[in-house]
Amino acid sequence: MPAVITRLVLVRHGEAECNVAKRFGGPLGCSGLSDNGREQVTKLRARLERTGELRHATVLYASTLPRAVETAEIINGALGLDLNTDERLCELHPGDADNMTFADYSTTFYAEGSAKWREDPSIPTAPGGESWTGFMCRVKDALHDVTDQHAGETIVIACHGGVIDTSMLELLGMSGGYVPARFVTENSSLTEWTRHRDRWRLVRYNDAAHLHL
Amino acid sequence: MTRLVLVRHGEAQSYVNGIIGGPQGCTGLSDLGRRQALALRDRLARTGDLADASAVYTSTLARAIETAEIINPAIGGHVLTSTCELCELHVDERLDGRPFEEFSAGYEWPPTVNPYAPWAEGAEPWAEFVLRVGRELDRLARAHAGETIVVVCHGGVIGAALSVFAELPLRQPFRLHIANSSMTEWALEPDIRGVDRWTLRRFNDAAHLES
Repeated sequence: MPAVITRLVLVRHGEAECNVAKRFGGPLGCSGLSDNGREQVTKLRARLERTGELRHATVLYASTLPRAVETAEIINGALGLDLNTDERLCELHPGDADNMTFADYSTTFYAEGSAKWREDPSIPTAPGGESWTGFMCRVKDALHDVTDQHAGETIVIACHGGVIDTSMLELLGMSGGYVPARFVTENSSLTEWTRHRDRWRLVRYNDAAHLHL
Repeated sequence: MTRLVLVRHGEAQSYVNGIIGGPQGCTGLSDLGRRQALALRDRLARTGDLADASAVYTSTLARAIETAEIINPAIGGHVLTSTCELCELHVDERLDGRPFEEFSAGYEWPPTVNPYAPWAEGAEPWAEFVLRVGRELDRLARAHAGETIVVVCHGGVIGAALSVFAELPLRQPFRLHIANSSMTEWALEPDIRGVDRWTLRRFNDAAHLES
């Protein structure tokens, strides 16, 4: 029996209006891409059309947040697939911090929220929000589910920096509380994994060559 | 910020011939390997991505040196410094230059299966290799603090660097794909607590091979 290899391509959304405003972009705070973000994703689409590197893609997902949906819609010009959305691919759920500026967060929920993650990453980011460990478990389960459902296919997911960081931490085996290295996933970049049974292979991280032509 | 850009060599002739490419077995790049290195050179010349490089290091193996010579004009035309500390997993005369398939039955491959034992008679264990690579890259990062340096090396070195900088387990529970002539970039800078930490900026960027 030939090896069933599943290809998972994670695209970070283009720059979003909530990124520029330095606000938490949950369902309330996210209002889609900035002009710059649309330009970044358009460059990615042009690259994909030119190289054909995702021509075997059969499945397209986005989180339910507008910046990811809009990113998926733009690159879909080069893919031509049905767009599925899945809430489990969202960025960390900010709870009551949604639509709040980072500056306001730092003087309100921060002290009882993410300030304590170094000691206890199971504390929610804000009332009604998600913890770091809860987020990582949710994303890891979603990535496994999606690749189980589409085994052998090429899956493209328009998602978020936190989702891509989590793929690195979980799939490379850094899921404990202490994270020695950091990641800087750029807007509209490509991160790619393949999966053969439960063996994951990192193919590329943060390929944003289309932004630096 | 200190930038460390690890470049994997182009496809080697020893690989094409199915030969273990130690100091004797490595005879430099294949034709495809030279084209891959040229594609990287052209990309770097166009983007100016590594125009701020202050030094270029290579292993002492012909495929790495040849790759470095090809890309060097696009990154400033530096004097190349070659060191065996950056070589692929060391092999002695029992393995060097011999056909892979002669040994394939006796291999423990990949070498991460048992990091403490040689993967074949005459081979460097993975754990020793990771220590060697970590020591050398740490030394280079300190010697070139605040600079951008380019290290033209090998898939094993790039995988070992990931283990070192991200403090991953030696028995890697994952696999890596590292294309010929690809770039993997790390940056070292203090975090908000003032502790030096490595950031992975890109892994296996081979976009110049796609277009």
